[in-house]
Amino acid sequence: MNMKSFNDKWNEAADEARDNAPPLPDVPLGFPTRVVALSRAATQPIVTWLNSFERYVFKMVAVVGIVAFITGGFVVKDLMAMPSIVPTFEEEIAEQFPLL
Amino acid sequence: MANEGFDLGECLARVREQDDSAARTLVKHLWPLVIKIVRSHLPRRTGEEDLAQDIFVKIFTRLDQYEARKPFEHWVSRVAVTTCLDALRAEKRRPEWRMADLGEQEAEWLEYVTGDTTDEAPVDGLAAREVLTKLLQMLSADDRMVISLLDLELKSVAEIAELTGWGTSKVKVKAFRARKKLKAFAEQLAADGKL
Repeated sequence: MNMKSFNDKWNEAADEARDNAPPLPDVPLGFPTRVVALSRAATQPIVTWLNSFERYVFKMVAVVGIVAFITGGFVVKDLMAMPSIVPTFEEEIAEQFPLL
Repeated sequence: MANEGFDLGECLARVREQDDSAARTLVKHLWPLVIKIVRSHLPRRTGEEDLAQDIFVKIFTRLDQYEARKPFEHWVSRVAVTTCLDALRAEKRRPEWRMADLGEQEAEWLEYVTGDTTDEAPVDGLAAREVLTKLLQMLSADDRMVISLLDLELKSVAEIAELTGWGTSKVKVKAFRARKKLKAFAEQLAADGKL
């Protein structure tokens, strides 16, 4: 059997098949509601503990930075207020040559 | 599909504003278009309602990708066809058909299609549909899609190219090769009694 003959008969069968397509069903009960609910669920971001953490991480970093800055300021201030423990030149001379 | 008083543009705008009632109306409006495509390209072990549901969820979740330059129904058809194609590709195995699986009228159609006889075609159109469906199931997903669109839905090559995203020459080559495979399958089933 050649290809042309097969094609002709196939097309005939396809015409018959098309003409005898079963009727399309109506929308099943509850189908639109289910589809809409699934679509909404699919578009909403999934909230996990990691997502929650990510949401606040920048605020947390900012707060920690401010606290560190303030604490550092106090430390520097205390250091400035403390008397120098390094002896001055005169003190060293006086210590090494007490009789002078 | 053209519902009385249905304004697609307004409905789409409301759906984008998260209006559930408008979304449900849109599902009802698109149902005949989507279920027709699903029926034509349904994998063997998949429920048509399940596949239709997947298509609608894709439509809603990708609504932002729709550009109003083309009719909305074209975009929906493309989403439906590509989803069906993915489902067909996911099918792991092709069925094994034997002559014993065919009814009397189906066997007559098979003999008619494969034989050199010039007799009149059998009269049972439903049997023709069954035989064609069984033979199409032997093809790969892409080949099945192209033959279904071309022969059963009478789409043009250009329309198939648009729906599938393939080039027109690819569609033509696939259709030509798929027809040759169908001929070989039909002849083998008729001669050996099995595929």
